[in-house]
Amino acid sequence: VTRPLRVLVAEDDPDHRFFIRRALEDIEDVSVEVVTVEDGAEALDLVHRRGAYADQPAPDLILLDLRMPRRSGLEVLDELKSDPTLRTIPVSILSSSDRAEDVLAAYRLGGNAYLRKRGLRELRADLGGAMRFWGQIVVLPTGPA
Amino acid sequence: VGDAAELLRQVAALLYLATAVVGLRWYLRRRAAASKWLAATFATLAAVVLVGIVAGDARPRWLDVLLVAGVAAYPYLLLRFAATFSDFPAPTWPVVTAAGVGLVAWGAVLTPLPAAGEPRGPGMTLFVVALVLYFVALSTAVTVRLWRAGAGQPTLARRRMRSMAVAALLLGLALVAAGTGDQRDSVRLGIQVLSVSTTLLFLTAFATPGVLRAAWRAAEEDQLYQAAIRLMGVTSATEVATVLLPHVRRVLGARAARLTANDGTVLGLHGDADGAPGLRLPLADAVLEVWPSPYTPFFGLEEERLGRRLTLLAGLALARAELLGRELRAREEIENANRELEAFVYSASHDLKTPLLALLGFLDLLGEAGVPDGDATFYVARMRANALYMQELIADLLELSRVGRVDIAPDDVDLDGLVGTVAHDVAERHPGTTVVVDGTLPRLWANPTRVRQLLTNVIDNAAKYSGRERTTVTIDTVPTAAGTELRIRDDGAGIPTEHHERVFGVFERLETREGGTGIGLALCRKITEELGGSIRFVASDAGADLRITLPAAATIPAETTTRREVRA
Repeated sequence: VTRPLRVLVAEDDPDHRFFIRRALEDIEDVSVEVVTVEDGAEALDLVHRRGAYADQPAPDLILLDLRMPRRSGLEVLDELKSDPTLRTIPVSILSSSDRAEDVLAAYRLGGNAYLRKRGLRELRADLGGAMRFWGQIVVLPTGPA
Repeated sequence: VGDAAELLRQVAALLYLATAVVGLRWYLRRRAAASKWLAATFATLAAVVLVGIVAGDARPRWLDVLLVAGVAAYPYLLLRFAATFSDFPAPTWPVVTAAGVGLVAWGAVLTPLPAAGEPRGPGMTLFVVALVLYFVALSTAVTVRLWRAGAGQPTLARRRMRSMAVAALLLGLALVAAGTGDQRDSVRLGIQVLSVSTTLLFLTAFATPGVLRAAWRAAEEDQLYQAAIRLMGVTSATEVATVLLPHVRRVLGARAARLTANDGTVLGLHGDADGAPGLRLPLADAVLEVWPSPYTPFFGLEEERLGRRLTLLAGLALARAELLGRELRAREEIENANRELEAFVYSASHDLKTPLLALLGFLDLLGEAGVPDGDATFYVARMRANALYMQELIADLLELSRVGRVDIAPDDVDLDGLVGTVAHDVAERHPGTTVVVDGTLPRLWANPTRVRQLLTNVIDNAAKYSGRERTTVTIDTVPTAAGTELRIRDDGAGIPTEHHERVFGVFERLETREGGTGIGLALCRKITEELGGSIRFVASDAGADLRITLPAAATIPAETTTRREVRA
């Protein structure tokens, strides 16, 4: 029995957090364990296992909003992809922006995917597809983080 | 030959006198040291020659002493003249003065002087040799000094200095020849020819005629022309000074030039300015000041005229820089305002999206949870329709704010190919729409996304507001003087003429129900303007007639012409 896919969701809007969590947990054929944080700084604390997150295991995948208080999604992405250990964790942006500059910036900083927030139906379909891709199709790195 | 020599001797005497007068006049007018010494030099020469002519051989002894003094003073005065351009080392003067005084004293002892042609005794010969050596030493010093002074000078100053150097050399030769006491006619004639030409050279070099000044300034004026061309690319007042002043210095042969704004700000200074400027030329907003070089001790009428021309150039360049600066600042302000506005619209649209997506999400969940039948179902449906409409509004606003942004590089956009896809999409939204393309549509060099938006919006618009079940939209092109005109005509109800302009405003709609956001045509106008074209409705008997003009620069010409229906 494989363990569930551990997904870190960094999203400042509580309603969007709610929708994302629900959409992830409702996926039937992929088992997903959702951890949520409310801004970029918390996301970094979690991956660095600092403060309240000292005993949190590393996520298998990170879903990152772009516009967040304290540290923006792009700042978090930059820090993650500059870190020799953390850069192995796939990061997907999940943003309501479809601005070409934002998409380009995300990939330039080493983002692994860029998902757009559209309606609830689309969110379910997109996240279902993404989780099947990251959880079943691809092989993710394992071993000591 | 003897008569000719005698005549030239008198001419030379008159020229000496004329040169002395010119020097004196310059001195009285400008108080320049060089003119004082020049006047003194030639007055002395004139006096010596005139006394010789008038008094003949029967001279009293005191006159002979005066003649010796005059002959010895001449090279000394010439050395003084040369020193005004750049001084000799300090020990020069006591040595030269002592030698001169010694020679005069020696000559006085030897008076009365032998008449022309009379044999000289050994004492007299020795004295003449000493005098000639004194001449040679001083003339050589003057020649070398004047020649060197010309180095590195603008053409005019250089030629003047070197003419005087040559003149000093020739005059020295003439006096040395005279010192030999050779009375042959040919020698006497040669001496006088040398004297006359040397004086003419001095006169020309010192008070250079306008024609020669102009000719000797040709190289500098060429440079000035180059400077004028450079000045036309200059964007600030200080840059005007940086480009102009070195040329002002060269062209006028000046020691320094300064451009000062009327408020006292020094825009630029080139060279070493000390004392009062020799030329002060006011402009509209500034003043150009020029200091003469020690090698061109003062400015003449020519320089003043040239200076005024330079002033005119500087004035134009300054006015141009001022206008450019103003224009640049205004453009920066507009660009900043535009950037801020775009940033505002963008972030407003983005921030509006977040709660709206949440609202739509909860409405979906509400629908899934099952709303009791009846009014609530209708309310939820209306809430959803309104939220979706708001989403559309935000998306359109976002597009509108993006038109000016350069986020996608321009590319070869084939309107012919694109129109098929767009027509297909429009027909899906508005069944019963047929798009007919008459002829070949041009290829554009533009942002493909924007062109697609433009085409989609104009065809959508025609289909949406035709007011009919079945609409045919005909697209063709007409070549115009400026480029191409794209015509989009439909067979619908058309648009009343009084609304032809209004419909391009943001949020302007002619119908309230089920219409669009009222941003579509505003977006089309922004896109065409971004392409350098324009968009407008023209009066038509049947349906709406929309014209999009595209400049030649935005189009890549098409070759063939066929009429076909792109969608059945």
